[in-house]
Amino acid sequence: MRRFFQRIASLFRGTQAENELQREIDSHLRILQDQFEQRGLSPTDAKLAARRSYGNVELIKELHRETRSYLWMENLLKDIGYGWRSLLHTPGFTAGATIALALGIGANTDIFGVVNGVVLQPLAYRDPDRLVTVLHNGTGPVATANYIDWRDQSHAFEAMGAADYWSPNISSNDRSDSRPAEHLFGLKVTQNMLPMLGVQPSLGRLFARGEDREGSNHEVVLSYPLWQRRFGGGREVIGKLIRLDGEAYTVIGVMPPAFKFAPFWATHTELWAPATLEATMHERGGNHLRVFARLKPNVTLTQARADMAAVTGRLEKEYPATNRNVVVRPLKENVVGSVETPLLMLLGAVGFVLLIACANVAHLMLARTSDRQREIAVRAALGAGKPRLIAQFLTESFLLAGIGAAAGLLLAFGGMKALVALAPADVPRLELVSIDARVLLFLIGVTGLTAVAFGLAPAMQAAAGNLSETLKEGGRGDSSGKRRSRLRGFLVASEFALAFTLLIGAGLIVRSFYALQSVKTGFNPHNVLTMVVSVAGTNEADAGRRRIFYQALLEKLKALPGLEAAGGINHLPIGGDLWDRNLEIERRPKPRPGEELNAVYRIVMPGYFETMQLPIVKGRAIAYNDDPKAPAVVIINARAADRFWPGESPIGKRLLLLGGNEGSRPNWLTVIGVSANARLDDMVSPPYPEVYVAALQTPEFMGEGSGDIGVHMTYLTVVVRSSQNPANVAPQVRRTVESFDRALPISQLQTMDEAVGSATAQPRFEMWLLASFGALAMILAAVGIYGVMNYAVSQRTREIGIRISLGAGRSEILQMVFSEGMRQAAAGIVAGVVAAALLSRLMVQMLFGVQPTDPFTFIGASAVLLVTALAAVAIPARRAVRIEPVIALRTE
Amino acid sequence: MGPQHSYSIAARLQQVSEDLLYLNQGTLYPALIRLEQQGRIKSTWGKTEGNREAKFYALTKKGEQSLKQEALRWRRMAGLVEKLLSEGA
Repeated sequence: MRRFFQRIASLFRGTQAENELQREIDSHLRILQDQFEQRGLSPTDAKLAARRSYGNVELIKELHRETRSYLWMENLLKDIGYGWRSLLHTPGFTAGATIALALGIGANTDIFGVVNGVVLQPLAYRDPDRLVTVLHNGTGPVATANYIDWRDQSHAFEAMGAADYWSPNISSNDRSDSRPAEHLFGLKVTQNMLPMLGVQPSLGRLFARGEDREGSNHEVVLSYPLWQRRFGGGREVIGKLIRLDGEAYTVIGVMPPAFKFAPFWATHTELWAPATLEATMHERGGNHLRVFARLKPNVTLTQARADMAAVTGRLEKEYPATNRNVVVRPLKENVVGSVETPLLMLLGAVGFVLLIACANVAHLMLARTSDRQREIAVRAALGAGKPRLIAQFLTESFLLAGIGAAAGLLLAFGGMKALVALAPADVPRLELVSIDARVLLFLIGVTGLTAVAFGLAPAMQAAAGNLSETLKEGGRGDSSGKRRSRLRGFLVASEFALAFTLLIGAGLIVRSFYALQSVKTGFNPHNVLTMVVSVAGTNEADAGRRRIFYQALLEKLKALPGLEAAGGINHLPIGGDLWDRNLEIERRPKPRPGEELNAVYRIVMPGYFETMQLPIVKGRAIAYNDDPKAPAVVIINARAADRFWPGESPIGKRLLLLGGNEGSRPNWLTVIGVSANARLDDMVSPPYPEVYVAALQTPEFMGEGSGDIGVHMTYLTVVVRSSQNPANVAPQVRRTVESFDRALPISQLQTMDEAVGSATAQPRFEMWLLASFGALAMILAAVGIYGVMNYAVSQRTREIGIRISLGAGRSEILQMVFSEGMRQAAAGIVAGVVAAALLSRLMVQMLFGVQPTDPFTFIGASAVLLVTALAAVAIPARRAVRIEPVIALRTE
Repeated sequence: MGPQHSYSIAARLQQVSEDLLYLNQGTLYPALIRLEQQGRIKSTWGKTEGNREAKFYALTKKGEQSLKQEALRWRRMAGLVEKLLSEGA
């Protein structure tokens, strides 16, 4: 061992050793020269003579160097060559081990690649760790007046900016421009917002101070993809006028290709314009801004939280119920928080798969070492020490792991593409997922660990064998054989424990997925097609025209062949935006601060309930004659009825929506119907009170109202029900919209089934991955127990033969083999139950409608594994029974 | 025979073997390096009688032991070969 280190050290001490060598050679030449001089030669001649008799100096140096440093390498090369040959000698073993390792390493590389891209990569801003969000409950929007007070009164932040959702229509500038109008996703940001992120535009500039004032805010910064797609990527775009919602904006900058903002909400943003806060600067009710901030240098998150707590505490006293639950949170937490746990759990699961693969390869290696006992003994007899033997076996392990890793890398490339393609759309930062240097490093590290994991125990075992006994007994080291079989039993048991834990994880996820699937949406999503028609910036946006357009469009759609019903709403349930309004109920005292009644605010066109088949359980639906001349009406959902009028019929009762245009005459709405509860957003959240007002009675929705709220109401989500596959009617529906005005952009065209499907996309994805890991684990464990029992039977052929010839029956032999195999499997399952019961608690966040210790899953997984083990043991057991005593006794 | 430098080792070998064995430095160096790596000899810089600088090699404890062993082994081997040859003849 010391020699080994010396040699390695000499590699690093190259120049020092080289100098030493030169010095020694010089000294010898000097001594020789002295001798020649004593014999009477002149100093010059003596020097020449010395050189001559010394021989080729460079050749000597070369020999010296080789001996000095390359011996260990030579050993290594020898070991590699030897290992390679011996792997080629046993192609079955090599192929089996390679496949197991490639699957394990490949799957680990892929999942780590996703974790690396999504979770580990820093956000692409300057000092991203200093960026935080300041939001209600961590993610909820903030009112303008609160933002302004926070910005001005806090001390912990270098800058605090805000962003507001904005979705303008871009229309062609002139007649020569033939591109269709398009509905874009954008953000209105305060002037300091983009500079705070510390990313320079790749073209032009960002907003300057004062450009967010009313009247001077018609400037826009484009994202790189929008610039490429809509403007052909030309530099002359800077200074160009474009029309957004019918108004002229000047393009002042283009952001770099990788730039994304905001990273966790409004993620499809493609352009940014200055937000003017003047109109809403005194509002503390309408929460619509997302607030971002950069911590001052030397200010910690804890200090910032304390600072904000002081500010909001003060404001809360001044304006009760306006500054509750304000959370300062690292920006990255908001971006990756929702996927971090599932991803880390998947990484753990796939790590288990690799461990099982390691255990499998380890007992393949063990079986192989027993077969090579003689070879090992011969090598030991020829002078190979224990360390040398272990090194030899580990070299083989590393070689095998290397081959497995190379194959695994190929698998990983393919697998990663599939993963990214199959991953649910709402997993953030999937575009960053790739096999980069860090992933490769991970791969190399995992490969090394794998090699040690499956190679060390067999190598020690091999080297521990008693040499003289082995040679004497003709290949049966009995004592070490017993130890080896204990090790094998342990390996099988741990495989089963790991596989069981994985199966529990998979089983729980499958159960929650089916629980999710069986959740009623409240309406019938089949055969419904939805799309957003946006009128902003078109002729249809004008007061008076919009009302006629919406009605005519729905009438015309309903008349299309194959369509049964058509309706419209501001925001769809499941996947749509959620606006809420506080409200008051007639003849009830005003609620105390903090106890306001609140409901999700929906604006519907007639036909909505019929189209969605969302049942009206009491009263009637909204009709076309619920127009501005008729009394104002509202439909509430069952949840709202229970909460606002518990124990009495809400029909005919009146409520008032708050937070509309201040100063206008209060508009009391009469409840005319109660609808069933529809799922709001995802499938998990419980129903929430909802109010549905008539679009025809909502002037802001029709472009007729005054005030700010109408700016965000320039679109209608159209829903149509068809008698056949709704995707087939999409072209007709699109043509019908275009027949009104070609400048009307249509977006988010999808079936309601697709919308519901994407709400369960993440659990479905997790289910597929975990289920395939579980299946893989089970197969590997089965192969493992099969291999071990098969080997045990072949080792005991003679013993079994003797037993049979002495009169042992089939059942006794079967019982012997089964009891040995099943004992190992059962031990593993028992250990697995304990491990799974501990680990499944970590999954709580991912589960729905099922407990982490769900007995059904635990019993099911045990049954599945026991049956698998039985099946795997059955094959060697059959072989054992069929052993012919005569033949068995003749073997060896 | 205390520590020797490699030139004198070569000269000594040549002398003892009565000129039958001449090891040039190209053969001797790697051998010395290997022995040193194996911990059987150790080297120090010193002065020759002619007051020249040279590297001197000396046997270590381990080296003496292995010398004994190797010598024994060699004698056995040589004796065995001798025996085989004489019996076979």
